[in-house]
Amino acid sequence: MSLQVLLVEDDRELRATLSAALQVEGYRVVAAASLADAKAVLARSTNCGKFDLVLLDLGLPDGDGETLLSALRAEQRAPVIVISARHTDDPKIRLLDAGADDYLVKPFSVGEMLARMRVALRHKGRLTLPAVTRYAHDGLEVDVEAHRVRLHGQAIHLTPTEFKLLARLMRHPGQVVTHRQLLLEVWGEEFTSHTHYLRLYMGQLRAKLENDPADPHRLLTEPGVGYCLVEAAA
Amino acid sequence: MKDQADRLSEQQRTHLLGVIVDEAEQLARVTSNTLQLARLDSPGLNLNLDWESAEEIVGAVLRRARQRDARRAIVAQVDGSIPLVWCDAVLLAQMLDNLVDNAFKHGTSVMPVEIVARCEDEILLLAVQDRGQGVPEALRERVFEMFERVDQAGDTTLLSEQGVRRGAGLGLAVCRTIARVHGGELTLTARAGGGSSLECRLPMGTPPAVFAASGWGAA
Repeated sequence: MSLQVLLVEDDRELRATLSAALQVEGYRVVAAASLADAKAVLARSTNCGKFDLVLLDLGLPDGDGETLLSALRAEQRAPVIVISARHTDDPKIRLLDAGADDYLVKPFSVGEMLARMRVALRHKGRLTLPAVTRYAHDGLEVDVEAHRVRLHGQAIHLTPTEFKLLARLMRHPGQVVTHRQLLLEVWGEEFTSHTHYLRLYMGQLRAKLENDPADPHRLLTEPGVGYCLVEAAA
Repeated sequence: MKDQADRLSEQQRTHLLGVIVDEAEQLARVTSNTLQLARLDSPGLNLNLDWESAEEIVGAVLRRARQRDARRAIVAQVDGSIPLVWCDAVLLAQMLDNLVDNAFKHGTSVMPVEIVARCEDEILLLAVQDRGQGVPEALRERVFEMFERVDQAGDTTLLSEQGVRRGAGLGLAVCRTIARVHGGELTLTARAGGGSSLECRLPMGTPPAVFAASGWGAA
């Protein structure tokens, strides 16, 4: 059965282009042109699992798409990819923290949108799997339960904080975890503004786990947003 | 394409579509640079300043450069002991992205573009260096002016098919503006052995202590 996508986009031409591209890829598309429209569509879909993925534009004629985000998060398990125009006040971090799974900044290519959709769907599938406690990729092996890290067979000593940070990134390999989320979950609520802690500890982790810390291939930085541990090859 | 699509061969259509994509990307770059300049010049400019790691910013720039063009060689020399620097990481990464693209355009494809990050007293140096033809001394300031492009005999890298030189000359103007909103400066110097070094110097502050919070042990 093909996957169903809810596309919330007010720009008629973009909506038509994206719908067509999604259909070519084999998705079934339900399009909504406004907040009210999207809410009506969601209300009709009594089955909560009806949509497999939501593409949500922010600048809608009757309000900000962001207001739909919390409702979607509460009612739908479907990943939400936000589509936004370039803003002076960069909303990416807030949106990711508010429950968006990913974001696309206009202008974007259809190819990138489809790739990000595949990633979001892949991660959604993974959410139903047991928590990731082991990671092995390119010579790095981590076993969270045994509290063990090995690099090319050699045991690596990590401090407790370094280990917590790595274990948190390991929960969603390939996905960017925001600075705020990391500070909140590794250090605690009162440290969410202490981003310099993160810089230093990530630097220490890179020094221990990367061949060249200045040219990392495991622990990647998304400037202004957060960090990501590369996905283990399947 | 619009008028004759049905009479064109598959190859011709692919070629023309490629031209359209190239031109659209070029236009997107010009628009984005123009908007960025307008934003950086506005009096209520709001920078997202934080204590950032030069190593991380350079690492992200390297990865993005390889994603844009995997065929070009790029390497980095980063002094691992650089303290954290108070800056807007997204803007500094954008400046380095622009400088790397510029170096790719003007450098030779044989010698890698180099990104250098190190401390000089209280100053952070971020440099992007190529082994291209270099820029004559008299023109080294002009490359930072808006809508200026330095044309050199024999350099055809920026020539489009119609022989028109590409680029609106905004990229380096944006880069210098980014350096200046951080209280720094961007200059172009000639490299010994040929090529250019675009050098951004930023003042460094004193990062906060990490173990300032009471009751939080070292680890």
